[in-house]
Amino acid sequence: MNMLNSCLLRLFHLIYAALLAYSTRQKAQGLARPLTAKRKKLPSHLCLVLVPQEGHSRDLNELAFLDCLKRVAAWCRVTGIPSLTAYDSQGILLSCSDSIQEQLSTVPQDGTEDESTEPEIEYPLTPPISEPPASRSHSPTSEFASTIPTINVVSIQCTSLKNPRQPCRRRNVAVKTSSLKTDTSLHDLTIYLASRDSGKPAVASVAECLVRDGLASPRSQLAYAAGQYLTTYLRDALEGPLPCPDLMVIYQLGSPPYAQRSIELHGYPPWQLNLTEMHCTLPKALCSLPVSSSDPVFATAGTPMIISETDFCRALDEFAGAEMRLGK
Amino acid sequence: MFLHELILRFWAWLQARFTAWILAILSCGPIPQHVAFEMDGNRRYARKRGKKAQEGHYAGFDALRRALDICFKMNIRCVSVYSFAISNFNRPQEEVDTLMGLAESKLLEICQHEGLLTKHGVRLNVIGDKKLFPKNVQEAVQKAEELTRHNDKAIFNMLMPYDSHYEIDNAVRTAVIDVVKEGKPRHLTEKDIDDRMLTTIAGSPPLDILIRTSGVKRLSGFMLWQCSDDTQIQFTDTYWPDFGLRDLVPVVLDYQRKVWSRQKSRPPTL
Repeated sequence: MNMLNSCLLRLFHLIYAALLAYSTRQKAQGLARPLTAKRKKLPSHLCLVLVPQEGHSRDLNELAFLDCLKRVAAWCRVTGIPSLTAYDSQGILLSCSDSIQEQLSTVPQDGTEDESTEPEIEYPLTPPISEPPASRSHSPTSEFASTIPTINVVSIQCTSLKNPRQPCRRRNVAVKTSSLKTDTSLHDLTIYLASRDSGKPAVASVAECLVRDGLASPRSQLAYAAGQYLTTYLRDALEGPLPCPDLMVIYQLGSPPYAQRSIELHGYPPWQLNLTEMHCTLPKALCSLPVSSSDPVFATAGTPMIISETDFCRALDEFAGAEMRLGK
Repeated sequence: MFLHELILRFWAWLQARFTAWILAILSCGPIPQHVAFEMDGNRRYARKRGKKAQEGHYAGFDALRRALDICFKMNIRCVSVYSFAISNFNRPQEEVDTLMGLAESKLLEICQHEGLLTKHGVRLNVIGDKKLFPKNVQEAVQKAEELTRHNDKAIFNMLMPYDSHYEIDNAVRTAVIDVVKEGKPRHLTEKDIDDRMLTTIAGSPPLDILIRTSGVKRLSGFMLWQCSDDTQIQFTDTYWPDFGLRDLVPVVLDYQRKVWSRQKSRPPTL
């Protein structure tokens, strides 16, 4: 009986795989509204989760990530989405934040090469972690902790020439600004680069700061023991450097290792995901024509695919149709 | 009349046999250890049928019984459900009262002798900020947990009233208090926080699958910490009162594909 049931299970899986492939193809044929179409609502903060292609080198994945980020940043600036988080669990994007700055300053909105001003780096006005309380300009509302947790996030400001550069507003983070020498109708964009370390380890870092403060201050010990909630402190400490996205777009380079209906969050900072709408792009066949066919890196079969404008527009269309009840 | 009843009984028997057969087939492959349900869509289900929201919640409870029965028959070791969010207290008072009444009566029903949880040897944990409940519900919760305290075959977590930020906040606070009591600073890791999450304290294994019904594609404060790493999140358009075996089968198949794919990509051990 077990042998028969095992065979039947394999049959179930074959039928399921066929139904999944059919359903994916049907969805892929559905039209997405154009990028500049008017939508009922747009996210004020979009998060792009980039999942590397398994079996490919880090360098190849890095190139693909940069290309995806460039495209999505440009589309955000066209549509007026003011904030974009680019996330990958391994920190590939964070490790090449300098390169990202250069890339963003050389590719204008229409994808053609153009000159740009040299990127400038504005460093935080106050020194990092160990500074005394008096010089702090932005810290979590702190009836609890007087030291500052380490949150591994880099933010990049992209402004058009007509707008003055924004001052640095991140604690312990270098803010790189760049003026794109392009059409001034492009909206400003703040880009955050994050990795898995910006999530659960950051929460542990916040807890460590509270411990240091608790050991130094009997008043804090009393507050903890009295069960006073730290939600406000946690919110400021975690959401200050990395705000909560309205929409998460999960993009898998190339083909996923197995076809599936489900999504995974790949270690994205959990605190920030409370009300985030989630969208996973449709899988592409590994050997189909690359989107960026002019780039020789992606012209051969078996190399990572780049996110397309259609993928992006589908995500926006789905977000525009979502209803928020907020517990009521 | 007698014939009609006979046909209904035969149909129920056939359905039960069919369900058992499907579960036996699925059990030939890997089975998830911990599944969570965000039971959404009760009110929309009721509105679609021209009924009051309260009717939707009663239908939702029936769906919960069905889902639990299926999961425990499949030997899923732990099931968590989002029964009541802290923000749900903002709902109309009549609806909140109905939900509190449902919690009080049904909790005891499933925990008593011959009840669903006793039948499957399941221990009930009610996880959340319980002091927000009215006194009668707090007493019912305490009694229900006591009735199943010695069950050890599986775990059923009812998260109510719950919010992930509350749980993370609580874990951070207890980690800090514990280390401060030790009297000397030490490096805190995410494991220190994870060990103090309420679901971990209740003995729950890592979360394999989280299912949200009714077509909504967000988590709304449900198990954010637990599902951010290696969890498959499934969004289904089915309203919770309609959820059944036909919705669970593709979820389990997806899980099995993931496990088998991982096993294939791992290098063989010598």
